[in-house]
Parts: sequence; C-alpha cells; structure tokens
Amino acid sequence: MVNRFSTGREQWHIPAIAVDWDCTGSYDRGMEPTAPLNPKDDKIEYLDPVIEAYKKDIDRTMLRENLKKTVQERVDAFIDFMKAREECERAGEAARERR
Amino acid sequence: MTNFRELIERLTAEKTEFIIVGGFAGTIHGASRSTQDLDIVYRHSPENLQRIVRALEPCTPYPRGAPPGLPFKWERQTLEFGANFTLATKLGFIDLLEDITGGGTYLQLLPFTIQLTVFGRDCLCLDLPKLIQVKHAAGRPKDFDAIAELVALRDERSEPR
Repeated sequence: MVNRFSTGREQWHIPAIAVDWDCTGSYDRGMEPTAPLNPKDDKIEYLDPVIEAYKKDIDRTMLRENLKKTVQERVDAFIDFMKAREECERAGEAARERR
Repeated sequence: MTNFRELIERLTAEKTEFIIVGGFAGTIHGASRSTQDLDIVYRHSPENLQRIVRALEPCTPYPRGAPPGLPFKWERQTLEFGANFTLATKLGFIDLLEDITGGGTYLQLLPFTIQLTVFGRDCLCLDLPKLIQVKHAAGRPKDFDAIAELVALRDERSEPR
C-alpha cells in the first residue's frame, strides 16, 4: 500500500500499513449519522508514518475539552476565536501605522 | 471574516442540498484549527443549482482572486457549466464544490454524512472518518497537521473516557 503526496514539483511515496479500524466511538449530542458509521468500504484506515509523526505534537487536552461541547458550542467558540483574531490583526495594523 | 451563520442560514432557507466539508467540518467535529471559508459539496441538479443561485444572489458572489470586471454572471447556467467555484461574497468566502478528491460527488458522499443542527438549522456534514480520508487523498503537505489533529480526535472518540 502506498500513499502519494504531491508538493507540486515532485511526487514522493510513503509506505503505509493498512489496518482494520472500527470506530464504534460515540457520536456527539446533536449529531446523527445518516448511515451506518462504518460502511464496509470505509473500514480500511492507513497508518501513515508522516501523520503519526505530526500526531505527537497535537494538544489532546484541547481536543478533549472540545469533545465535551455540543456542536453549536464548538462553532460558537470558533467564531469567537475568529473575531478575536480579527481584532488582534486590526490592533496590530493600527500599531504599525502609528510607528 | 466569513459569516458562517448567515451563509448556512441562506443555504438552508432555500432548502439547498449540500454537505459541509473542509475546515468548518473539522470545527464541527471538534478540531481546534481555524478556517477562512465555508466549503460545501453541492448536488449538481438543475433544481439545486437554482436554489444555490437564489440563496447567494443577495451576497453578490464573484470568483475569488479574479480581477474585477469579468463577465461573471451569477445564474444557474454559470453553475451548470462549471464544477468547483471559489467565491468571495459580501458574507465572506465560500467554496462550492461539485466533487472532492477521494470522496466524489454529493450523492457519493451522502452515505458518509451526519445530520446536525447548527445555528438552528439542520445540515449535513461529512463524518469524521470520511473527512480524514478526503484530506488524506488530497495529499497536500499543508494539511498534514490538520489530518493529524482529526486522527487524534478520532482516537479520542474511540477510547473510553
């Protein structure tokens, strides 16, 4: 099994290990699957060494907090964050203009 | 900033058939990454294209990054002749996708969706396993971090807490 990634200029290949994966984990409040969660052809997941390497740096505490929230609470938090970011950008721009 | 609320309200008010994909779908599943645009896969049927046109018409959609003055008409025929549109609107950025790499069209993605209520509206969103799969299939190095987070989310969900 080979995964392909293109960076635009070249293509490189990373071997991946196919494993069975059965995500029977809970779905969240307000989320209803429209079909069985694990359709047969979606059962193969790949252990990608690149992704596995990136996974080590993921802050799981934040993800756990997010998973405690409802979908709407997550979206609201995201929008609040985006508003705050926009405000910071504006403030930074104003400060640069003053200099 | 993209007004996700109003874009979704407009699309659902017209009963548009669409699936939320991309970064906003990641947010819905609990990802902490931000995104600038709303990515949706739409059903490419004449009726649905008309609904999309009606829903977004007041927001004056225009191809994102294109020079002003192009003969771009926001009408059903325009959507019929194209597939994927990256648009700037008065409400922010929206990507209308007829199909996505590794996932296919609206009808092909439908079995891999979850129904949810966001902003008080019922929508379809790509489920987490499929979202990981399509991001993986796109193979963009810039997505590696986002994929890793989605995979970590999947792990967190499947582990007993």
